[in-house]
Amino acid sequence: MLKKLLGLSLAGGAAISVGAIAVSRGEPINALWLLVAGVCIYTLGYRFYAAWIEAHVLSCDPTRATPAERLDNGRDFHPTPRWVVFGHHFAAIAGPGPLVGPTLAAQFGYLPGTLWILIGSVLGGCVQDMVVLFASTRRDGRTLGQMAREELGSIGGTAALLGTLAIMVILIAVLSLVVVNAMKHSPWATSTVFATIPIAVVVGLYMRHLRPGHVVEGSVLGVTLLIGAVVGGGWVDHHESWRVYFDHDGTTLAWFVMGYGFLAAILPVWLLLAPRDYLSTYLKLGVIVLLAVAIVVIHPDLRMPALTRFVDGTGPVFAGKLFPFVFITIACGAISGFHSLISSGTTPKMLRNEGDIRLVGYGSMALESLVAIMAMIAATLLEPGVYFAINSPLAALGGSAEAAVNTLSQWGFPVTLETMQSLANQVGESTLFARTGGAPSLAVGMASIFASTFGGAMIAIWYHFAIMFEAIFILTTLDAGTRVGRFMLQDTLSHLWKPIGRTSWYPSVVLTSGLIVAAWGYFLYIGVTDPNGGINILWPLFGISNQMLAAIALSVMTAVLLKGHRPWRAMITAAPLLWLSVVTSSAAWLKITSDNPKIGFLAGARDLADKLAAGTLPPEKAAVAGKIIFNQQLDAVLAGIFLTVLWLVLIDVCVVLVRRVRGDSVDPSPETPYVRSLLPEAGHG
Amino acid sequence: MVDLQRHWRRIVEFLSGATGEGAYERYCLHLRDAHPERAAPSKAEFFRDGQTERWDGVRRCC
Repeated sequence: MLKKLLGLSLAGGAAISVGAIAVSRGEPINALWLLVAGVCIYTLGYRFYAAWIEAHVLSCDPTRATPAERLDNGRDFHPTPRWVVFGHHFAAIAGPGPLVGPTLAAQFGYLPGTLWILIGSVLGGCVQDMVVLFASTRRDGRTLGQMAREELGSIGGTAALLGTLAIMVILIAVLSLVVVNAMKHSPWATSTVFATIPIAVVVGLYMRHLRPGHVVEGSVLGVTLLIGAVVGGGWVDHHESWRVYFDHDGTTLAWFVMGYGFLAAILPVWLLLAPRDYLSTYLKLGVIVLLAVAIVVIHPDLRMPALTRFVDGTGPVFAGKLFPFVFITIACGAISGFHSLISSGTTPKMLRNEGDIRLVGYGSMALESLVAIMAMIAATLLEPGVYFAINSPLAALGGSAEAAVNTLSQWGFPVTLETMQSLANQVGESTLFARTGGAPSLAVGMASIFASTFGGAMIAIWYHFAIMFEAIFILTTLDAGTRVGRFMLQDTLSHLWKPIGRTSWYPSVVLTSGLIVAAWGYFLYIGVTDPNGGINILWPLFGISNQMLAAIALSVMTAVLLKGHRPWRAMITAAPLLWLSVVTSSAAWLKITSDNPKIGFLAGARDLADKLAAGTLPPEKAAVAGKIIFNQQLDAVLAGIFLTVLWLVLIDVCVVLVRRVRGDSVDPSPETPYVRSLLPEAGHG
Repeated sequence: MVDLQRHWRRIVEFLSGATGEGAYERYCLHLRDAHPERAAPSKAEFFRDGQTERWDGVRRCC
């Protein structure tokens, strides 16, 4: 009875909140509506849809021993309490992606992005994470790549491998660009971000040599030092002779980031990677909780309209119409292919009971999606004029700050030079115009929320805290991603020449790390030099690759379910797969073939080539034009590869489907046989 | 009172698991039960091996 009441009140809450969001036209709505709608919809999805999937599609069996129990080695395979697994899994899937995507997609207004985050996660992302977790648990914790090979054959397996490597390179490039854009000519941000490196090393040494295994002590020490670094950055910024050492342009910073990435990949993990990861995890959880509390306390009005004129594709932040671009701009937060790599492999080895799959798989993603909603709130509570001034490259608004202010005011998003300057002064930056990439505008949003909740005088500290918070996340992804890319490359190249596969052989480590850094470094460098701001090129490419990986994961899962006893229930993964295929294909197709030079890569290359030939480019743009033309063509080829890989996998799934419909035999899906669990709680799950 | 104690124990258990603080003690228990013939590594050795192993795959998302 109580449960029914709870269900009813949730449904009521969801209906009222979504209704309030939907019927408010023209007047600002309160941020709380978004948050309440999110919480209610996720809880409903969790209680009903996920419970139905658990019981009737996957048939999770609490009496069945999990790999953690059967293969227990006390280390990676170990039955772990459900909330601990939840914490680990959430910490692993939550990254900077759900913070950046919604911020960029806010150019369409708050409504499209919010609806996609809510619907996409409840019916797509959460389902993907949960089903992958289930399948991997039933297969001794196999990775997505291994499952793809088993279910779809060698084409599917190779596609998953290729997809993972490509997404890694693009992901690191675009995230590094976000960090570089946040540090550009900002001594405060640069010195703070640089300081995180020695801090991580100190923590690493502490946890390895001074007090081995005392991770909490080490992390507390680290977080304290990090906060010190934020305050110290302010001091550096005000110091005449110190600040010049940290005042750099984008290109120099890009080289720094590449050098850092290379070092991080070849240094032992305990020195840099592992301690940085501890720090970023605590920081992340702390900030998410703070943000939620602060939004509830100050419950700000959203100033951005529900829909802006830019749904027609003329937006300055990135080009392209609402369909399909909102669906690839927000990848993480609604559905993220990357999560399937965590849900397979790592997490299944810790699950104590199959009854925990719903909480860990579906629940973690629902929480991650809520973070995306909060990022959307932080972006849309800014004055729209301010939001667009920060997030648009100057080239898209007329070339200078004065022109930008005029253009924005004509578009109906009034903003003045004085407003922008005083905001920049408040947060301790020289300018906030064209700080693309999403991090600065999110930091301004977060700083204004935090400052009005926890003390207004410290807005500059809060701003740089937010920048440091995003940067430390991103650098963790950069370290870890370069390392994973290196392992995959070593594995692949070892087929050509055996010794290169020895993961601890130094020449091979240096060579393969160098190759991976060169790969993402190339895209980063081009992104930094691109006068239109590289985000416009790189973020869609990242979105397409991430959604392609999600489509591969959903394909593998659809094949698994099709081979089961109730094949029609494969609809739960086939439906989001269908939608993602449509979205990703049309986005990739547009990026390749569109005649609009802002959208189509090839059209962009042609446009630039024409201008170069006609001699209408200013000399500094003409100098880099050749590189940008080549890069646009390369991007088109990449989008083409993503599209091809996607369709090869889809054809594989269709073959399974056709055989199933015609009643032909299909190879059974290789599950580990049933073993009864001996753990005390088995059967109560 | 008993309830409060139980809840507190649960919270401590959660935190020690989530942070990895109790990993070594847990491993020693596992060794004692499953392989009583093997000698337990020292705490420093345990963390050294664990850390290297843990970073050999995809660990963090976008």
